[in-house]
Amino acid sequence: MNDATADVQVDSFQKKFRSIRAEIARVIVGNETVIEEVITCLLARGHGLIEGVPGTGKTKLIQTLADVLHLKFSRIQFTPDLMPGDIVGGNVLREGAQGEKVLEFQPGPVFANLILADEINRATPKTQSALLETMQENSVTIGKTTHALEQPVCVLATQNPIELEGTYPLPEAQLDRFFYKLKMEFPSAAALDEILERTTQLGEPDVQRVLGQGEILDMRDIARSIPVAKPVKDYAIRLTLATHPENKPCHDMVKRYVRYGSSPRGAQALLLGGKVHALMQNRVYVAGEDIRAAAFPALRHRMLLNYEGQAEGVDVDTIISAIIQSLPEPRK
Amino acid sequence: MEDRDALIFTLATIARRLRFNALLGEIARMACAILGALVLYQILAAAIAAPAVLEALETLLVFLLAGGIGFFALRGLRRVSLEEAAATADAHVHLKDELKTGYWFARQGKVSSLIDLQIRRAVLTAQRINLGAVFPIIVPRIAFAATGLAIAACLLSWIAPDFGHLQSPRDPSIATASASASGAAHQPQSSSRLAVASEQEAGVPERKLIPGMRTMEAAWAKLASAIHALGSGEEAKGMAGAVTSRDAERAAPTPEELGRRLDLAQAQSDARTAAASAPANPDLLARLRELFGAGGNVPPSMLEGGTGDEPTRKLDPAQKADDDMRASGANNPADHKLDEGTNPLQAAIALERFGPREARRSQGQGGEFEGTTDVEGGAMGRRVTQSNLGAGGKPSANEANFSNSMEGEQVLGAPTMRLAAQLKRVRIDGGNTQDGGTPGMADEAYAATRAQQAQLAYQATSQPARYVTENAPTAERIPLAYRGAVKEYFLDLNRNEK
Repeated sequence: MNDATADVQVDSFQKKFRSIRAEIARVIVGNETVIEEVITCLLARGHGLIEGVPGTGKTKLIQTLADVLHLKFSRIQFTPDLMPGDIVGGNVLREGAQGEKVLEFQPGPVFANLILADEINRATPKTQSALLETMQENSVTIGKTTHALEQPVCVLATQNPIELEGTYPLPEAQLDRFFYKLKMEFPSAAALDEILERTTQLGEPDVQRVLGQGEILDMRDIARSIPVAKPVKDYAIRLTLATHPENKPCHDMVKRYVRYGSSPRGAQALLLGGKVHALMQNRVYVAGEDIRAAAFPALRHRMLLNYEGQAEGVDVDTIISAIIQSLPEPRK
Repeated sequence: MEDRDALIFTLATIARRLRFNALLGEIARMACAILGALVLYQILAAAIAAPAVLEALETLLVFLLAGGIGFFALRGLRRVSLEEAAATADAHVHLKDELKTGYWFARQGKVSSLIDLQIRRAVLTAQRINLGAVFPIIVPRIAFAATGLAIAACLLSWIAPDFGHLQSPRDPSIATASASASGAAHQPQSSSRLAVASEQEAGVPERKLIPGMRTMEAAWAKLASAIHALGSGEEAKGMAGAVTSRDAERAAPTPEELGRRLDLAQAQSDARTAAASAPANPDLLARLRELFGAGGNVPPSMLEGGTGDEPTRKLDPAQKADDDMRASGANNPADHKLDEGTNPLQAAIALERFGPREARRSQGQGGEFEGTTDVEGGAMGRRVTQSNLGAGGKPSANEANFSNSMEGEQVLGAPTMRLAAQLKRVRIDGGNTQDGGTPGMADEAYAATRAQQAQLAYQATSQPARYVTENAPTAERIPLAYRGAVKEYFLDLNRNEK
């Protein structure tokens, strides 16, 4: 790949990204940042957890994304009685052509490219754990057989932060597997007016499929090939380490309110998210600004607050913001 | 030229521009520091008269200036690295670390299509930067402050033109000042020469004079000229030596002695004039001979410098007042009026305590000479003489006891007072009896004043705390003043129970 090819690919990446964003924006009003971050999750080979109060368009966003992309989409409505087999599938006994009985694998809804795990915290931890292998290794093991999932695989889950009765908070291991945790904000008055305008008419806006499976994979490769200077990488590492209260020196808020800091997956998410963010800005290098942009969705679910932090209702984003402000810029 | 070399070349251009601006700034700061120190030194030199302090200040300022120049020179000569140039350009043009990252990749030498693309984009971006607009040659604001300080330094030098120049008492301005200040000095030039000669003899190098020192030098020159006018006696030589060595302690009595000598010379001149105008007055001549003879009242010290044949001399003011009082009969003890010129506070005390007669006597004996007053009737009826001998003063002719026949008893330390005068008289009313009958006897007693109570208060604080409340029923550790009240309280309780 020579310079001209690279330049073309970068331009192509940006155009495709913009096209996806524009198509989604035809349905979803506002929340542009969340839309970009959902696309980032998909292009960075990650999974996203979207959190928001009911009615803010979480499920609609993911359904629209599936409509825009030529990808296999499946939806799993998580309920308390949902079982792991209902997600990953299982072997069923079938009668063959000659009347023999054979066990045949019946794949579950996770065998798709884009998986919507709606209200994921309503299922039991046992069922939630069924997604662990899928999210991390993009495969499903049933019995002695491991079934690889077709790329790309992206799990986009939703959860409600306020309706906690009858729910099961996600365990840390599963939370950590989500690339980004996104917050769906309540729309503003103007956005609400636009939502009413679009959704109370006779017909709803249609979206076009703009990208296929191969293009998504190409975009993923381009995003991974973006070079990162060592100082920027060090900046991401320092940012990750700064979330740990035992790290010295650490910010006062971290020392006071944080129980556990980010895992190494957090640093990976910072760098990969930074790369996609840089490409979105038509840049072929990662700057400190890209790392900072990725810091909030990549670290907010990886920092566990202690009792004092939970009791005082401390927002993790506030702590991340304080860390970023206290951390010096990447040195060249 | 490859993209990497082009990027480095462009960054080097930016670095040179940045370094030039930084050098301008450092030069301006250095000039500001030097001129500020100069202005500060001028102000301090005008305010501080001590040469030793000024010399120390000069040395300190020289060291500070040398250090400051070195510091700013190091800062100004510091090279601007290409990383700094790239970072500064990124910050100025909001390039989001494009040049920094590009330079980092170019320096690392890694090969990748995206890295090459990044370097090429960085080169194009850097070449699009208008250096004249983004990094103009700016005269730093501190240069204006340096200009202001330079103007201030020039103004200060103009206001005080003697500053910074070698200056000696031969300077006409100082000689004029000396002449005008001395008034009675007849030979200002000779006095200046005396001062210069004395300095040269003492090996004192020529000193830089500052405006604040000129008044002092003029005073010394005045003293030198006046001593020179006294003649060549031993005492005059001693005074001249003290003035030459600038020994203020030794030269302190000189003005007083000079005034006395000048008065004496004036009196001699007046006497000669009077003798020349009235040669046929035998009574006056006889009186003068009596006064200035061996048994006269004029002390020998008053006759120094004279020949002893002068017919008249100026009398001591106190003695003259005493003679006038004798002649007018104002020393009558029956006359209770106090003389003018006496210490009014002492006179009032004497009048109030010991009556008009003793007050009259004390004022008359003590007189006004150097404030010495003899007071009869001290504490316990003892005669107290307040003398200035104990206070380190010199004895005077008028310092004697009231009877003028025996030497007064010398009492050292603070004067004492009658014990009754130290206390205040208070009236103590009689207390009520138990049955409400006839009250007790009232009495009068002496008690401490508020000032004495205040002096004694600290003694009470050193005593241990007393537990009044807890132990009140047992009457233990109750302060003496409260015991009666406590006892009455409990007795009343018992009576109510009955």
